[in-house]
Amino acid sequence: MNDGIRRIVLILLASLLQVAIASAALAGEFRVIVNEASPVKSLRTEEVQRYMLGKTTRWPHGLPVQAVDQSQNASTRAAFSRDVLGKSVSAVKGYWQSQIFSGRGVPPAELPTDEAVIDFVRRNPGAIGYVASGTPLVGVKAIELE
Amino acid sequence: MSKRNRAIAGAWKAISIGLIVGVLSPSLAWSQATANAEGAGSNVSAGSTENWWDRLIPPTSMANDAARVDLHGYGSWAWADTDGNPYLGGTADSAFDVITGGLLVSAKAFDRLAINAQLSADTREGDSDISLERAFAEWTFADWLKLRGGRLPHPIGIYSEVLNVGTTRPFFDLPQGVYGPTGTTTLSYDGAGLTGSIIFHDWELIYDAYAGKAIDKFAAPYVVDITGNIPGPGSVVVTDAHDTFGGRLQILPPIEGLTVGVSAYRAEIDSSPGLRVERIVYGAQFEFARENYSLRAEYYKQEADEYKTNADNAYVMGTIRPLALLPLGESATFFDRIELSALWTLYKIRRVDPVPPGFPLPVRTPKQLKNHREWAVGLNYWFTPTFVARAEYHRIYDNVFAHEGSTLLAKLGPPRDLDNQTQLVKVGLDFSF
Repeated sequence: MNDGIRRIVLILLASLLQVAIASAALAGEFRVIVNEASPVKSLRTEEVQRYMLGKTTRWPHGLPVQAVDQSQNASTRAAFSRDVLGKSVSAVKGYWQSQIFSGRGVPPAELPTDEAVIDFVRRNPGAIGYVASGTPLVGVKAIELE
Repeated sequence: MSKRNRAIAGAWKAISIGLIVGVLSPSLAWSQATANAEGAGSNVSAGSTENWWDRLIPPTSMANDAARVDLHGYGSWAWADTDGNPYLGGTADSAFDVITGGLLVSAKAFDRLAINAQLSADTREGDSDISLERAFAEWTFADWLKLRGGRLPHPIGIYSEVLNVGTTRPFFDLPQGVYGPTGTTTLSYDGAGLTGSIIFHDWELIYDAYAGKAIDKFAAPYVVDITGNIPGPGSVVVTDAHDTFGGRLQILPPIEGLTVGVSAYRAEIDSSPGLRVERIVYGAQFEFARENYSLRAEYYKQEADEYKTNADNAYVMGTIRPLALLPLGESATFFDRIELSALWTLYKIRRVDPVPPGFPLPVRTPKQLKNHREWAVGLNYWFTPTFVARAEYHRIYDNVFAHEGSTLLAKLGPPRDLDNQTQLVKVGLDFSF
């Protein structure tokens, strides 16, 4: 095997490792949840981003999207903002400032605990939220992030 | 105030009170929400058959927690001082009371219906002004089609919809050529509009189209130059821009933080009695805003038909959080909130034709009353994204905006003692919630 091919194989392996680590991080710190009755089983990260940032306000099956967030200081929120929204919690807050005052939308409700988020998602068929991995899920289901 | 204006003002007051009372009645919204909860549940079935019009206007549904009322607000306090001409609330005697603020109530009474009402207050140099900045309803047919009606923010450029909210920008004030009293952007408009966003792969396109009557503001030199009307005391005149229609198109490519767009509108403003001047404004915006740095630029051309007057407005504005870019570890949370900002802006009025016969002014308006050039630097400390302390320095050349209000009119002949350079220092706080 010449050097060129070896280098390409190494780069591919490194990339795969990076993807595996990123996926583990996504799966490790939080889980995205929806109502148990929702037909949704998996979502692309970009789709979750659009639901959480109010860019898409309706599910494909017709229900209005009701996004719910964790409180500003929750470590789960920091991980979710970084890994799914691609911004820090501060930057997301800045985004919502413009949306609020231009009359184009309001941020998701912020709830203080994983249990409160689960309760909200359980009560609302169109809800989407996230909780720390390992939190027992009752009346809601975790979806797969593609 | 004429009878007609009184009637319009009364109507707006009634609408705003109605909206505020309406949106502040959570019990009403709540009962609506619970009444519709079952309807929401029935929509879950994935295999239901739909016509195309069902997709456009599906039945209004409401889940248990969908009804909500939000109260938001913003405020600004600044100490401002200039070395001569008044500018942006600063005077040669120092002004400690440059205070602006506003309250916004937004409500989602039904799944597809959003209502917004915003009051704003402005106190500068002892003059206070409270106004109903906007009061509108928005019906969402789909994410790509929303209908808005009422008193609406004018969608042009980057900042026109958040004109007074300091925490959305790097300086206390927006560049005056584009967002100041020049009629390039207006305060708001009474009418109707369509808006929506279309997502195609990783690209997003946001559009706005609107028509109505805009509420306009001009600095004295511009009013005089373009209309021939000499305004009363004060340096800014608020008037109506009739038959306004226009649109904005913004494209967000799949590059984090990048937005480019174009805007244009046409309106008619009252000139001399019985005479209306057609105005056309068009231009482009560029924005590349990342978490620790940003660059924004806009250019607009404004053309007024009657006296062949046109104006160029442009600015470039950048920010950087230099310490956030360094690997400072845990201490970064303190230092990465420091932001440096810089601004360069230009505004230039040109009259193509000679002054028409009977024009009630000196033949030639001094050049310094047609130009505005400015650069500024600022230091911001963002305690949170909604609370910032600022200190900034501005250097202004010429006098379109930096002048002494009505006393300026006496100086429309030879410039005499009108100093064409102004320095402004402004220190204070911006917050929102």
